[in-house]
Amino acid sequence: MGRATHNMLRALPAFVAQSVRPFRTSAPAFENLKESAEPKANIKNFKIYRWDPETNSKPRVQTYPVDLNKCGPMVLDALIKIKNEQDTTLTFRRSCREGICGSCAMNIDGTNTLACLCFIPKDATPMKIYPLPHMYIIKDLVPDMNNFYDQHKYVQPWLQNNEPAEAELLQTKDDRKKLDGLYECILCACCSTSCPSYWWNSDKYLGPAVLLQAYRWIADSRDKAKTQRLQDLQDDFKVYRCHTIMNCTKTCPKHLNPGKAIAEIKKEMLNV
Amino acid sequence: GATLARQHMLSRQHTLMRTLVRNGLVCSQPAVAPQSTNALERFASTRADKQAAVARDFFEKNEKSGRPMSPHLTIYSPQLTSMLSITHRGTGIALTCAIYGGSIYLMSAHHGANATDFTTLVEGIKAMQLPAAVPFVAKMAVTFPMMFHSFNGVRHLAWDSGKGFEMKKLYQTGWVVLALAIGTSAPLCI
Repeated sequence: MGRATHNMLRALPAFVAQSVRPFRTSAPAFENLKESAEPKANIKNFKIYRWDPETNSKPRVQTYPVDLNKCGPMVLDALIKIKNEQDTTLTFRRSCREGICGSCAMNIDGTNTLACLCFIPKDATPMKIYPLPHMYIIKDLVPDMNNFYDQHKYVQPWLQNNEPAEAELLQTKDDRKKLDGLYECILCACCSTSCPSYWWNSDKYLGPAVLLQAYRWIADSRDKAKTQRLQDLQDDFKVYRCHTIMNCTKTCPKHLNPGKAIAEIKKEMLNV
Repeated sequence: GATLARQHMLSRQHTLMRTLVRNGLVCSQPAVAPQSTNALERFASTRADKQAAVARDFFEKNEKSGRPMSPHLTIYSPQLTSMLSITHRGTGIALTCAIYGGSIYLMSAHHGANATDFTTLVEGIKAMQLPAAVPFVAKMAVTFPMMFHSFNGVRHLAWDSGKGFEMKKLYQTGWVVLALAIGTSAPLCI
């Protein structure tokens, strides 16, 4: 054999010794080798809501076992693993896998959150995964979000300032600080779908997510349409179905406070 | 120079437009607002009315499609926020029933020959020799709603002024209200 190969072979024992310890090459150690090389499987059951629009069946819950030792730490990792290895028909929305796009919003163990930010507990209790509550389901974990988006459009979520300006619209640091905790909303709909009031009145009540955005524009010092924006909210349902239940703030995966924003809107409405 | 550049730009725009139309991405006709078939919607002048119509369409379409509604009450985990809120509503209803029911009873029953006043009523209940738990529960059923609704009412008033919305504050004030409600009603009912 060549010089290079010979040198490599001579270095092999040292190389093996300094890499992963269990992989010793001596024969009697082979029995230990198998057990210590493969960690014990940590199986957790995932009970996932399923519904197929192409059959006439009712929605059901299907259980999938997942070895947590061979899975990433987040619920989204488990869902993708199930879809890849066990059931390719499992359907869910996802995109960024880092908690910024809002696609993977769903109800996990009773609370609305983002699957990509939700750690899987290492214990053996089954994990329950349901779609966002009280939404029409297109398939499996995918809800129809169109009503939510139409409501967002209604509050005109853009800057309205037609005053002539020669350069940028200036804003003080204090005024900019008022937008912190409002602009970061990713419109995942976790809060709106956690609100019992929105469950019963999603046709007329705008919901915490949309109202948070409405307040984001009402509070912006550069926006000149505040009165019109407040008048657009003036009826019994759009804002006033909020009874300060506060499930919204509890569930927000970005740690925002829609309940507080709605309270501020209600205070502003007193002056309209 | 400038005219040539402008002509070049216009020709590029024309080519782009032509490509988009040929590929079905842009309508070759100038945009026309879709005429709705509902007469009421056609006369809907305000944005709010239009939004209401859009929402109605959404619900009609989904109801017709046979899509299921995802579960809500059956799967959503109870939180202090929602539990205290529903208790506030429940105690409010209980208090209304107690006040109306109690008043109607006292006003209507036992007049004339069978006149009974409150003391005689209480003596009668004492004479029944009920196990200690029964009067306790009955008294709690009126006292606890009164105390809980009053203390949580104060919490609501603080919210109306914009105070106490942070998660930590919500939970702190929530537990305090619950403790105060039980602490002031249980000793009175024993």
